[in-house]
Amino acid sequence: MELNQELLSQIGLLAAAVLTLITLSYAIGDHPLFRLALYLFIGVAAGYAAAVAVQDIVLPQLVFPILNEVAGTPSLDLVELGVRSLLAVLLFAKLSPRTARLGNPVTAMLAGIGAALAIGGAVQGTLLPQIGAAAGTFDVASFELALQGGYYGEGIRIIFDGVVVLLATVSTLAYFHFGAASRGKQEPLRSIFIDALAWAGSVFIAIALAALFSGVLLAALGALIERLAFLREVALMFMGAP
Amino acid sequence: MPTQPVQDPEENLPDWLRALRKRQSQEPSEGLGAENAPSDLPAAASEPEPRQEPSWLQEIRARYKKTTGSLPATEGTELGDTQPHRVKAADQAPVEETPAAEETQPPMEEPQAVKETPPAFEEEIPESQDEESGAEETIKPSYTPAFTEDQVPIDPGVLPSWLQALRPGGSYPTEDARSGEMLPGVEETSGPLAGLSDVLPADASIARVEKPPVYSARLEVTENQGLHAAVFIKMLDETEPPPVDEAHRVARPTRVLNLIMATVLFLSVLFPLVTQSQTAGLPDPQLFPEATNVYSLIDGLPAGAPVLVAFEVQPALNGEITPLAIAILGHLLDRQAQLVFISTRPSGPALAERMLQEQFSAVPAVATGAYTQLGYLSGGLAALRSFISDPRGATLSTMSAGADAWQNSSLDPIRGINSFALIVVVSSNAEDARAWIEQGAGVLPNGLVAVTSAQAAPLLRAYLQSDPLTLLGLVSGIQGAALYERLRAQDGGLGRAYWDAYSYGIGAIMLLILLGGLYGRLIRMKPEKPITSGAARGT
Amino acid sequence: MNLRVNTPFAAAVAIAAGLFMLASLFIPGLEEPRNRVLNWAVLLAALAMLLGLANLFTVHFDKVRNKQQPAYSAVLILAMLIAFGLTVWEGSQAQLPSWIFNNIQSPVEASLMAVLAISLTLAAARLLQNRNDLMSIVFVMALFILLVGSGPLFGIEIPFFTSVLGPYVSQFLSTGAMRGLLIGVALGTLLTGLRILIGADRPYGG
Repeated sequence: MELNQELLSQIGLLAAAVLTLITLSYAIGDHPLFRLALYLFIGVAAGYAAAVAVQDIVLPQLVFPILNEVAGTPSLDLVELGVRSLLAVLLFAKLSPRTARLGNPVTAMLAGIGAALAIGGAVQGTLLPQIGAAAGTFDVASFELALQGGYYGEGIRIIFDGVVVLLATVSTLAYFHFGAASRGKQEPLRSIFIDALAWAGSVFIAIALAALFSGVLLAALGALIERLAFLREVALMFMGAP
Repeated sequence: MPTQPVQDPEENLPDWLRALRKRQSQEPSEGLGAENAPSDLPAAASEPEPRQEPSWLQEIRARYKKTTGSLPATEGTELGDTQPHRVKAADQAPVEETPAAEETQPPMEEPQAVKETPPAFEEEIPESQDEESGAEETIKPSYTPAFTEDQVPIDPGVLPSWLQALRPGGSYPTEDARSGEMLPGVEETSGPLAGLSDVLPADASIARVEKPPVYSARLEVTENQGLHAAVFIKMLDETEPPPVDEAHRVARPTRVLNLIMATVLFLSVLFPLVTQSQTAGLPDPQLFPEATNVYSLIDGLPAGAPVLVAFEVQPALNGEITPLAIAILGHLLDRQAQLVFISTRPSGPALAERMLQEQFSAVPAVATGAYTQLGYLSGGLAALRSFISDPRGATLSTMSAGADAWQNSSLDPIRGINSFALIVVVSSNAEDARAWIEQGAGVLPNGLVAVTSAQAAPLLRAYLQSDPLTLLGLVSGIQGAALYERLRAQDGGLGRAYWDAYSYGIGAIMLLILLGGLYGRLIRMKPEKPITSGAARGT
Repeated sequence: MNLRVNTPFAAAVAIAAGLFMLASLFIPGLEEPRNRVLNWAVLLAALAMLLGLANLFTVHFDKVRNKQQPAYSAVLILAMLIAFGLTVWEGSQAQLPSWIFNNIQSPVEASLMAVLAISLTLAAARLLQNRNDLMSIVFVMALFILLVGSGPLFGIEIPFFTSVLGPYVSQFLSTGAMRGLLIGVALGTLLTGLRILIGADRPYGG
C-alpha cells in the first residue's frame, strides 16, 4: 500500500513536531495531552518491537517451517522442528495462570543460559581485565623513562597518579565491605583501617556518581539540541524559508 | 490447712434446708438412716427414710432389680475396698423395705433439692436388692457376675492379684495427698453447706479474708540479656536526635519556576541554532587520546576492509549520537571500508538505514548498496554470544525476507568474527557496549572501538586500560563529534553546528544550578513569619 | 486434569542448561550443540516479547473494561494493534511502519530524553540548596568541574578546567572509582549467576 510520499512526509513532519512540542511541555507540568502522547508512544513502541521480533524471528524460525511441514515441503529437520514447537507451546502456557507452571522449564532454560553467559562475560570481560588494570596502574615504563631523562617531577606525577587511581579502586571496594570480626559479647566493629578506606571510598564514589550524572545531563542536553534544531527546521519549512 | 472463718451454719441457709435439718435432727433414724449413715457422719447428713425416697430413685431400684436379679454378696466389702471412706456394708444392717413400698411410690411431700449422696444411694441399692431377692423369685442375670457368693471375699486393703498386675511400676503415696478440705469426714464449716461432709469446699478462696501474697516486681535479668540491653541503649544514644519539626520555607519547584528554568535553557540552546553561530572553540584532541586512537585505527584501514558496525542506538538518544555516528561512518566510507551492520535492538537496523539514506545517499557505496544489513539479532546476550562465536550460524532477521545476507559474495572472506578488520560499536548506553566487550573478550583479538553517547563514557573509560585490552578506543557525545570533525578537518559537520548550542546549554545549566541553589538557601535564611491556621491547612 | 511440573525439574533444567553453556565456553568441540541451544534461546526470546505484548494488551483492556482511565488505555491498545499489524503485514522497512517509527515513536522518545535535561538541572539545584553533608558537597563540586571542563561556557573557555582539572577528574579520579564499581558489579553478577546455577535462586517461577 503506497501512499503519496510527499504528502505523507509532510504529515509526518507535522505530527512529529506537534508530538515534540507536547512532550517538551512536560517541563512545565503534567497535563492530559502529554499523557495522551505518552500512551500513544508506549503502544507504538511495544507493537513495533514485538512485530519486528515476530516478523524476523518467529515467523521464519517457527511458523513457516511448521506450515512447510504440513504442506509436505519440509524445510527443517523434524526433530529440530518438534523441539522448537514444544518449547514454544510450553512458553505460551505462561499466558494462563492454570497452566503457567508448564512454562517453568522453558524460563528455567533461559535463566540458566543467561546466567552462564553473564558469568562468563563478567569473569572474562570485566573481572579479570579490571583486576589486571588495577594491578598495572603504575605506568612503570614511563616512570623509568622519566627518571632516565631526569624528569623527576614527571616521575613523581606518574607515581602520584597511580597511587590515586589504585586508592580510588581499593577504597571504593572497601566502602561496600561490611564484614567485621566478632568481639565476643561486644558489638562487632569494622577495623579502623577499613573504616578509613571506606571514608575515602565514599569521596571517590561521590566523584564517580557526579561523572555519571554529568554524562546523563550532557546526553540529555544533546537530545534537547537535536529536538530544538528539528523544530527550527520544521518551522522554517512550513514558513517557506529556504 | 488454712483456718476458715467460723460461721453460723444456720444463719444464711434457705428455709427448706433449715427445715430438712430440723427434721433430720428430730426424727429418729429408722434403720435406714442410722444403718446407712457412717459413724462419723452427723445426724444432719443422714439419709431420708425409705418412705420419703424420691420417685426417680425408686424407679431405678425397681429397674435394677428386674435386670440384674440378685446382687453380689460381697458388694458391701467391694465398696469398702475401692472407697475406703465409705461405710462398709457389712457394718450396716440390711435395709428393710417392703415391696409395697417400692412399687407404690408415695409422692414426695417435700421437695428434696438435696440429692441423695452417692454413698447412701449405693449402699441402699444392694440392701434393698437383698431384701428383694428374698421377697421375689430370683431373676437370673444375663451376665456372669464377677463375684459369686461362693467366692472367698477379698480382704479389705488387699488388692487382688489381677489388679495388682495392672498397676504400673512405681511407688504410690500411701497417705492421702488430698487437701485437708477434701479429707473424709471433714465437715464444711461455712457457707450454705455448713455441717455437711464430703462436699467440695464452698468458700475456697472467695470468702477468705487474708492479705494477698506480695509478688516481687523485680525483673530477673540474666547477664546475657543485660549485655544486649546495654548494646541497645548504646545504639539509641548514638543515634542523632530527630530534627525539630520547625516550619521553614522551602523553595518548592512551582510551575512558574519550572517555566523560568525551561525558558532559560530553551532560549540558550535555541539562540546559537537560530543564529547559526560557530564561535565556540573546539576541543583539543591531545586531551582525548582515546578518541585519537579511534581516528588512527579507522584511518589505518586498508581499502575494502570489512568493518562490522554494531548499531545499538535507541531512538531517545539518536539525536545526540547522530553527529558523531555521521562523522565516524563518513570516515569509514572515505576509507572505502566494507560496512556490515547489525543490531541487537529492534530499532537499530531502521535507524542505521535512515541515517545512511539521509546523510550518505550521495556516497557511491550507499547509493549502489555496497553495504550489508544483517538486521536484527534477537535474544540479548545469548544471541550476541552466538553471533560472535559463529556469525554465519546466528539467527538473523534478514533471513525472514527470504534473503540470506551472507549470500552476498562480498562477504565470502568473512568466515568468523575475527575476519573483520575492525568492530565499531555505536551505542547509546553503556550496557550494550559492555555486552559486546564482555562477550567478545578473549574472542576478539583485534578488539573493538566504542562510539557512544555522553552518558556511557564514564563507565566505559575504565575498560580503556584493562588487561587484556578489549576496548581500543572511545569517542562520545557531541563533544566527541566536534573533536572527530576537527581531527578530520571537516567543516560544516553536524557536530560543529551543535557545538555552540552545546556550549551555551552547559552555561545555562551551570547558571540555573547555581542560581537555583542560592535562591533556595536565601529563602531559608529569611526570618520566619508565624504560621497561621490557614497556612497550616495549605489554604 | 491437574498439570503439575515439579519445582526440581525446572531447577534441574536451569542447572543443566547453565552448566552446559559454561562448559561449552571452555571445552572445544561443543560449538555446534551450543549454537543450536542458543538459537532456541533466540526464538524463545522473540516469543517472550510476544507474550509481553499480550500481557500489556490484557492489562489495558481490563482498564478499558473497568473504566479506569479508559481513554488513555484505548489509545494505547489502538496504537499497539495498528503498529503491530502494519509491521507484521508489510515489514519493518515498508512505508507505513517506517512512517510510524520515524514520526511517532522517535520524536516522543527523543523529546522525553530532552525533558530530562530540565529535570536533572532542577535536581542538581535542589541538591545544592538542601544537602550539607560531605558526599553532597563533593558531588556538587565534581559536577561543576566536569561540566565546566566538558566545553566552553557561553563560548568562553576556561583552560584550567577544560585542560587540567576536568580531564584529571574524569580520567583518573572517576575512572578509578568506576573500576572499583565494575569489579563489584562483576562479583555480584558472578554470585547471582552461580546462585541460579546451583538452584539457590529460582527466578523462573519454580
